[in-house]
Amino acid sequence: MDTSLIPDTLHSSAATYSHNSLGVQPRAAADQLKILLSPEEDLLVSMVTGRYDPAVFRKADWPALTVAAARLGMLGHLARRAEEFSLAGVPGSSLAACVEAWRGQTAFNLLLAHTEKDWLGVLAARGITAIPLKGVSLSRILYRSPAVRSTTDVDLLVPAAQMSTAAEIFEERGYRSALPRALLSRRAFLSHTDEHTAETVYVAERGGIPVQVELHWKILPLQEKTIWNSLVEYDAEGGAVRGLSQAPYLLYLCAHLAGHGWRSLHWLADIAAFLEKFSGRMDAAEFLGHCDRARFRHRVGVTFALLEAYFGMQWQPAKSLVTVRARRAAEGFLRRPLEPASTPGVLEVHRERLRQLDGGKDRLRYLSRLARPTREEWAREDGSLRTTAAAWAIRARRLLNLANGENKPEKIVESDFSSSANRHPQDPAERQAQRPLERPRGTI
Amino acid sequence: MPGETALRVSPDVVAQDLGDGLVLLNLRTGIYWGLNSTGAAIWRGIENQDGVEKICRQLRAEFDGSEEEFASAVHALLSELAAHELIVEKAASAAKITGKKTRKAK
Repeated sequence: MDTSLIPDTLHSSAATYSHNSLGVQPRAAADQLKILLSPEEDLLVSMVTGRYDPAVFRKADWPALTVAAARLGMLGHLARRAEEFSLAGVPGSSLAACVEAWRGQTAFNLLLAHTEKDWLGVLAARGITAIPLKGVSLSRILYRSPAVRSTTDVDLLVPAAQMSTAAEIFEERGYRSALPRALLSRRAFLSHTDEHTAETVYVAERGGIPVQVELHWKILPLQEKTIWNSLVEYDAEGGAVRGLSQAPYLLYLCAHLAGHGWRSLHWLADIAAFLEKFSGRMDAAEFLGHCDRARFRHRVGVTFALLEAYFGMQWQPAKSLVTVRARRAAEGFLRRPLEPASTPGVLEVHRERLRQLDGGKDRLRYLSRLARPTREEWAREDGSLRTTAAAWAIRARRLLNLANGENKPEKIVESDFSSSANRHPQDPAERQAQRPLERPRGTI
Repeated sequence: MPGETALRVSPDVVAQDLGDGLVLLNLRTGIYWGLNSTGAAIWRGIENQDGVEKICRQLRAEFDGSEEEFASAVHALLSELAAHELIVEKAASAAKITGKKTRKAK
């Protein structure tokens, strides 16, 4: 099967995706979906693909570009090209704010990398199999640096049967979660969770900085053994990373982006980088099989339509997924402003998810799952658990309230740490650039 | 004085090379620091437990400057890193970081 990546040829400069071994072919510009981007966003997109014009970057409004990059989680992508931009004639002073913000992101990612490594070691020593998802590990795999991806937490996948033990270890080590541990032993709760809800968040402080570790036990609607029996080791900066094999990993990245309403450019850029790196070795038939079994054809199709629109990238095996319906949905997303993950209301989230399901049966299944109690109905505020009947009754009441127009915001997406100003206090006045050891850059 | 003591990178500190410099994070305090390219070269020497003399030799290969300037820069940075607990005294007796000059002084 042909697994070539096909970039567009609108730009003539060196193309990241023009690797001959991938069988790159030119593609008609007429295929391009219409994208509405600000000048800064347009530059960031062109920079991701490597098809940018240095002259345009020389004239760019760099403070605005840096702000846009931070907002879109693209700071690392921008900063790692700072040297090229410097060579292209962009004054160092223009790049300074970008590089400074990147240092803050790097410091936070170092903290997360340390936390992730620590936890993988601790869990393995206690006989628990865990693998990292996305996060700093993916940055090390895709970009050969832990600093490029904008990352907010550590995500680990743990087998459902080991979740309760894993939670106990987290509590032993001073981490706290809003989800009572007892719930992780309750079969009724575990079986009712789906890829959106099968997670619990643990938080602790390190050096005064809150660090969040998310434990997931179900990330795709596939059999658990399909995931765990196909782990692979990725060559990565700083040492090999054991993780999902390529086909389920790609599907997971697509599902994750879709689960967040396709709102983040940097997650789309990750998928582009993943394809660029692994499409040649990926079993395309396995990937498509997973798409079918997970009932993710439409969601993956929309993702590939967006990849094509933003980065001019096509992957032949996925072409059949980019249907007229997927293109139409993608066009809708292209017309809205590019923003990081936001927090729409509950009803809007469910409406959007329902719209993106493959078919009528999937919608019925989704609605039936909505009727089941979630952690909020199972657990009381003091952490004790309600009976099954009480949990169902409270769920029913909550749904009725929702149907009657109550639409409270719900945290269904990752919080936005992409703004360096929030996470990494900076004070340019203190800069002492001539000294080998510069001032403390701040606390993260 | 760091120049007279065996030093190593603090176990609380992690570092990341950014091409034109380095970011150091103290995991205990949550404070991060930047090193420029000269400082990064010195830091790599510390990580490798090279002596001052070897670090200076490597600096000479990469940067312009006199032997005195390099030695002074290395000692100044070691002092500063030690003051901020980014490097700490080494438990072992081997004093590689002290380098030839220190040994002469002894």
